[in-house]
Parts: sequence; structure tokens; C-alpha cells
Amino acid sequence: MMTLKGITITGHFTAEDMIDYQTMGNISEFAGSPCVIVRSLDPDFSIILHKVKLIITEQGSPLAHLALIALEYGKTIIRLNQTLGPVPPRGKLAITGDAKHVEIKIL
Amino acid sequence: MGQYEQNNIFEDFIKDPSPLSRSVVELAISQKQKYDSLFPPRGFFNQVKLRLRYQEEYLRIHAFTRGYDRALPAERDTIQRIDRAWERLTVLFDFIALNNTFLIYAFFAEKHKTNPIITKEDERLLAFKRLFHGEITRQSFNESFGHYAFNAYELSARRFSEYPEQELLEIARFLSDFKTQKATSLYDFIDSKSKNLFAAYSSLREELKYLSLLVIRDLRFSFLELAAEKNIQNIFEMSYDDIKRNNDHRSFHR
Repeated sequence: MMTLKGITITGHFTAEDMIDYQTMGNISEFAGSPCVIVRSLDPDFSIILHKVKLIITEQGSPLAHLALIALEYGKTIIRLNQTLGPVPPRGKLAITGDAKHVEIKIL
Repeated sequence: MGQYEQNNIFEDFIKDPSPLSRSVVELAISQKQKYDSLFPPRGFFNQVKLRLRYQEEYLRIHAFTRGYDRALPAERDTIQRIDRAWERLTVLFDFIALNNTFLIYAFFAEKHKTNPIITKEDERLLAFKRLFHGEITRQSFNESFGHYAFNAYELSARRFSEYPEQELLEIARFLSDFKTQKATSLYDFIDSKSKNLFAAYSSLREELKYLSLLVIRDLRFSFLELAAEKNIQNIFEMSYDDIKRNNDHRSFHR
């Protein structure tokens, strides 16, 4: 089991027991998961924002275009404190901690 | 200071810019640098000055967006047309940089960061939805948002108006169930003299993006026209200076 650490940069922190996730490099890879793991806050992802609950990103600021839109639509973005490393393309994850100290367990 | 420095508003500007689009990045950065000294403010008087400017500038930016002339430059010569478009982009990027400065300020100064305004981004998503459901025509979509693109500021990126019907509908499919609760126009919000300006600066950012992408589209099409005129292979792999030098050289030998 892999554990990642991060911080909530947009929206409200909510603990999750088990949420489906997928990694995503571009829009065509989106398969409807409520949580997406991305390398950066690509503004092109705004077209799927209404379909997701949570974005986990390796890089990005709360003032990035996507982060501002996520803020308007009540979505949460967590930025990792570390590089992503090899994560299975799909699966489930759990989130614990608080807004400033988020712990993500890839199950 | 640290918390401000982490907020690079240009980080997502252009992914892997082509040599030609690097000129766009350089222009954006140079315009941003003009306002770097404004925020964060140093000293009490600069803080007061910034606050006063923050309460006024959105009105000037809004007036600019409303009065902006969208008509294409009239020059017949393609290089001259590119030069005129470039001048427009310089002005627009100046406003974007200024607006971004106050948006960053708003982000830290305003407690409530909600936005009830229907922004150009919301309109774009709604246009995709309506296109998918056949509520607007392709022509209507193209007229409103055909100048947008994925990696929107990249000059080599095809505009949505250039997409085949089916490809555009594949994108629109993502928005088939899109909903928004927003109901306030930017004009009404500004007219209401709301004291929370986060929404104003956030929405103006989208207005300025909308206008600057019209210029990016004009530049793209002008560069493609120039490439056809001068038989240049993959013009986006050249720098703007190289293109101008190349054009001067050919004109000289004509």
C-alpha cells in the first residue's frame, strides 16, 4: 500500500474511506472516476470538473485557472508534497488527516 | 512572502510551447513583470495605495472589456496584420497581468471566495452542453467559442472552429449533464457595487482570456496564411523574429 502526503489548496477537506480514482494525462483518458490524480492543474480539465469530486495533483497553485474554477464549483484539490511515483492507473484510495496534513492511501 | 511566491498564476499558461508560441510566453512574462512590484506591497503606504487601487481598477478593466473592438485588423499585408494583432495582444496581456495582480490580492484579502457571476468559462461549458443537445448550431458555437482550443494560447493548437463535427461532439459529450446555479451577470454584479471583489476580478480574468484568445486565433490564422503565401513548412517551428527576417529577406529579393 502506497501512502502520499499533501495539502488541500482548494475547497474543503473531507475524509474518504474508499473512493474510486484514476490517473489522467489528458481529457480523452477520463473514465468518470470521482477522483482524478494528475501531474498538473491543466486548464483543459475544466470540462470534466463538474463530474469529479476531488483532484489530487503533483503541482499547481490555488490561483491556477483550474483551481479557481474548482473553487467556484465547490470541488477539492489536494496538492502532493512529493512526486507522484508509480501509481496504478485505476483503483481505490482513502483520505485521512486534515486540510493541511492530508494522507492519501492508495489501496 | 513565501505564500505569495508559491502562487505562480502563469504556471499553466502554455504546455510545451512551440518556438513561435514562446514569443507569446515572453510577452506574457514581460507584462507580468511590470506589476510584480505591486504585490505583495512593501510598507504601510504601499499597502494603502494598493488597497485603494484594488477598489477602483476592476471598473477600468471592465470598461476596457466592454469597449474592446473585436474587429480584425484591416491591413492587407499579412505581416502588418500580424504586427497589429501582436500590438493588441500586448495591450490585452497588460490588462491580464494587472487583473491577475488584483486577483491574487483578492484571494488573500477576501474572506468569501465565491463567485455568483456567470463567467465566460461558464458560458463556454454551457455552449458545449447546448451544442451536444442540438440547442445551438455549430455556427453559433463557432461564433461564440470557436476561437478556444485545448492548450488555448498555443498558436499551433487547432481552434475548436477547426474541429470536425464528430470530434467536437466528443468533447461536448463531457458537458451533456453540466449544470450551474449561477445567475448574475458581470455587469449586474459590478453595478451592485459589491464590496467583495474576488468575484469581479475572477470573472474579469475570463473576459480578458476570451478577448485575448480572439487575437490568438487571428494570429494563428494569419501565420497559416503567411506560411501558404511564402511556402513556409511548419511556421510554428520558427520564431517570430525569424519569420520577420525571412519576410524582409524575400521582400528585398523580390
